[in-house]
Amino acid sequence: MFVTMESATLNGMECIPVKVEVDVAPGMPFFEMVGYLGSEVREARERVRVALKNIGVELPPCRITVNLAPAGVHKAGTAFDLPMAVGILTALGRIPEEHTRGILFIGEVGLDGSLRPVTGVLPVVQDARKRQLNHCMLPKANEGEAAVIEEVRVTAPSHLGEALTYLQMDVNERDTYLTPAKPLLPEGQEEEKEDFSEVAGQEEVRRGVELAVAGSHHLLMVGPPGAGKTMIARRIPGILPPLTKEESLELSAVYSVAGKWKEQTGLITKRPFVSPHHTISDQGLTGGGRIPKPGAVSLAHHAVLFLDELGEFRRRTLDLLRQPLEEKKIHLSRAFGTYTYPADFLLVAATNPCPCGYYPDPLRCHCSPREIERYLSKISGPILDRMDLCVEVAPVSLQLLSKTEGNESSAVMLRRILQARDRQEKRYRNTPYHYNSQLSGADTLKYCVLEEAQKKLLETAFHTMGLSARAYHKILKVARTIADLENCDEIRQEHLTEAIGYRRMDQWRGIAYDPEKKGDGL
Amino acid sequence: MKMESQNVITSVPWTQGQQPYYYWLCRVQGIGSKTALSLLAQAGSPEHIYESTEQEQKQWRERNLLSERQLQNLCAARRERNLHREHETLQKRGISMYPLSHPDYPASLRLIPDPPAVLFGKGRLPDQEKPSVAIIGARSCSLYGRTMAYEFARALAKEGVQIISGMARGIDGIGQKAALQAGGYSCGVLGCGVDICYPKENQELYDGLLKQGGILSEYLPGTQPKPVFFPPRNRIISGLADALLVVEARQKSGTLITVDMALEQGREVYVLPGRIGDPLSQGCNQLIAQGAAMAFSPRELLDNLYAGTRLFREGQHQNPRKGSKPAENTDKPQVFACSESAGPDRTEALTEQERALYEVLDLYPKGPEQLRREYSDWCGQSLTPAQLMDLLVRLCMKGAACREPAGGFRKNAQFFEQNRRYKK
Repeated sequence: MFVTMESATLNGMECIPVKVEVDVAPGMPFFEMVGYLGSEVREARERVRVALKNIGVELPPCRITVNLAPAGVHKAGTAFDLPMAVGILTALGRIPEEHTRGILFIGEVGLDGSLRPVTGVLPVVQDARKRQLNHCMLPKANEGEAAVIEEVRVTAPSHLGEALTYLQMDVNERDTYLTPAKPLLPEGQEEEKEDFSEVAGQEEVRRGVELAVAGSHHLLMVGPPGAGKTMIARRIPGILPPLTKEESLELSAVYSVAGKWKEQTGLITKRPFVSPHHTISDQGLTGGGRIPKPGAVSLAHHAVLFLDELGEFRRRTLDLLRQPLEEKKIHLSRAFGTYTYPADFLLVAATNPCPCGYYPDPLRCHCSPREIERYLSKISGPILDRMDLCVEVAPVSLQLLSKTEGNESSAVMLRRILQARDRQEKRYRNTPYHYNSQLSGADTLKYCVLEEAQKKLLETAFHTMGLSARAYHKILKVARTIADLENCDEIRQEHLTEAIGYRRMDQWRGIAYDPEKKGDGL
Repeated sequence: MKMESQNVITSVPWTQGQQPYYYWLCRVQGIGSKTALSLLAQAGSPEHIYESTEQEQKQWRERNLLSERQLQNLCAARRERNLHREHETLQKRGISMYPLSHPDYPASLRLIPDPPAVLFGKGRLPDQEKPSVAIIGARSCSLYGRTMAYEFARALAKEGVQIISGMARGIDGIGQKAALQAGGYSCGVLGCGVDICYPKENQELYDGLLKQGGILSEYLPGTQPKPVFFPPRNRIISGLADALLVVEARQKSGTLITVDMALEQGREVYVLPGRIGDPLSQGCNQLIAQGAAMAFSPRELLDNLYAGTRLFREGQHQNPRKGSKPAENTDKPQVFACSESAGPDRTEALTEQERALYEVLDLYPKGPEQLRREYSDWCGQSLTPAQLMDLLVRLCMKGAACREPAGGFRKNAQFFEQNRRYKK
């Protein structure tokens, strides 16, 4: 008998429907699987056979052929165990075929018949709903994740025996045997609220951080060790506007594919703070592996990617950030195809100003200008190019440190940011833009209008302050954000000069990097 | 008081014909000044060393004038045949060579405890008949240090004093530049070959010294600078001078090492006092506490050093400040009573706030947080970060301030120097 079970596989974030075709025919015992299968998929044969035996189903001698269609797409993972088992049982007549129609099956099967969780459940279930497949059967451990999609009925047995019983029962009664899962309500996500009211002083950095978030500008912090760069960076997620439902689903899907879905907490509601160590591998940063899993840049989608000690990262690794910073996604090409993961993150980086870290403190810094120049120019050019803001973090004095009151809280900063975001929403209503930083080309000049006096000021600044031509548009965008924060329609002179003040890194690249030269890297 | 040194062998007579051999001896690996001088004392001349017999060499080895290694190197070097050609190339490059016994070898240097066996030079040697003062100090100096070095050097040079230093960044270079600009003579002693300009940023000074002054080094031409070369060259700087002027020095610095050498050589040390708590004046103030003489003005320095000596011989004494009052007024620093006009007051182009911020800036960079604090201390107003950045950027655009790539803002030194007319 020939039957087909509905299943699916993930190609990066893209869900591809898979039909598990099972044919059972009389003849010499034979069990063959086809369909461009990865080795763990092939192993399903052993798992399913033994699992069936252990739930008491004796396979009669017959020829079993399983095809995972479409046969030209590479299949990986262990999610096909369940549809295969159910398919074989159905083809053998143990389950009425109508009972399996309209259900999407995914799940791994253990030798004892227990059902084990798989990754990437959320995007698969989302896709199932899109295809009008409103009933899914998957392992108990994946129940909460699938239940997030409210429109889909989720049946979650913990054992193959349970699945078998359920499917044998009458359609109208079976849901009393295994009740459909209810969506998990996230429990008190308000733990450890890191707030800016805990940060003493540092007005320059606060201002810089506010600008960065308001307009989504990438930020670089330069300062001595212990000044609080990491402390401040950790508090940035707290002043990011709350995740919308779509953003939350998108982000949770990424985490699911990465295998980082946490059953206890369910949907992600707090923006994550992703801070990879500078020894991270290329793959860890951008994603990779033979079957690529999302990397840090994707785990920071709609959130903050913090690179501490920027100068310690391998230059080659940092250069990989070029594509995601431009396109807000990352494409990973492999033998089996191209995988695309989203990567729309706010980049925040921190570095010391010199090898000893204490410049310009004359009491502690003894670095020569050459050493400083060499240290700064080690930082990858393409990354510096895409930094919009550079702030200096000063060492905090002892009196300030003990000051516990009077520091602005995150809530106050967030209010201003939301107001600025609001202005941007209104301004870009019928355009593809959301933030000032996204403006490109002629649109920059269109939305960031300058009067003659301001234009002259900018020109003078270019000649006297060693700014690069790329900086022109960036300054305009930052000035636009500053004006938005000040609730101003027009860009005033003081907005411009402040924006100019944030462009320190243009002077760093003297010897080591020439943006015009293709294929940079010493 | 000049001390007798132990090793001086001035009895080895010098002839022009010996030059190629001296050059050869310099190039023998592992043989430095001390060894060379003691060998010369034994052998009498470098030619003799070149032609020495095995037995003589064995003797030298037994008397421990040479180590085993040095002996091997010497033997290997003796195989070289084209000494004269090598020496000619040196001459063609305009590099002169002064062994210890050369008549032009600076007399003051001969008497130091450990004189260089050979000096290489470009340009003119310091005139032994004229007074010489070495001006040394910190490499990353403050505005105060920079100004003082400039003023002292200029005033001294105008009186005919030769300025000796190391051509380094900071005080050294500024002092030498000032001397040249005043039309005087300056000599730079290098920690590398005389044909190499180090540091690169002082290329202009290097060229100026070639034209108007001199460059010396005890290292072979072509030697790249190495940190270990700098302390020994400092002994030459102080050795060439009558006195040392220390403008700014940190507590543990190379400058203080030079001071020790100067004292060993019996030179006088003058020190500029500085603010207590300023790390750049810590070394100086410490020296004063240990008994060094203070320098209050170039005039005073000159009086102390050269009163009654050849400098004030009739007809040679020139007043550098034509038309200014004599040195009785002690409340204003003499140096700045100069009536030389420096151009219009460029701070007039600054707004009130910008001017106040300009006052707060210094030559060494300060971070924005510090500037905000000092600004509010200075004029009682407080600025938001945005307001501060606005003022700073305007100052940069007007040329009054600069931003350091590594962080911080500072005064633009050129703007300041061109604007040095003080209003009452």
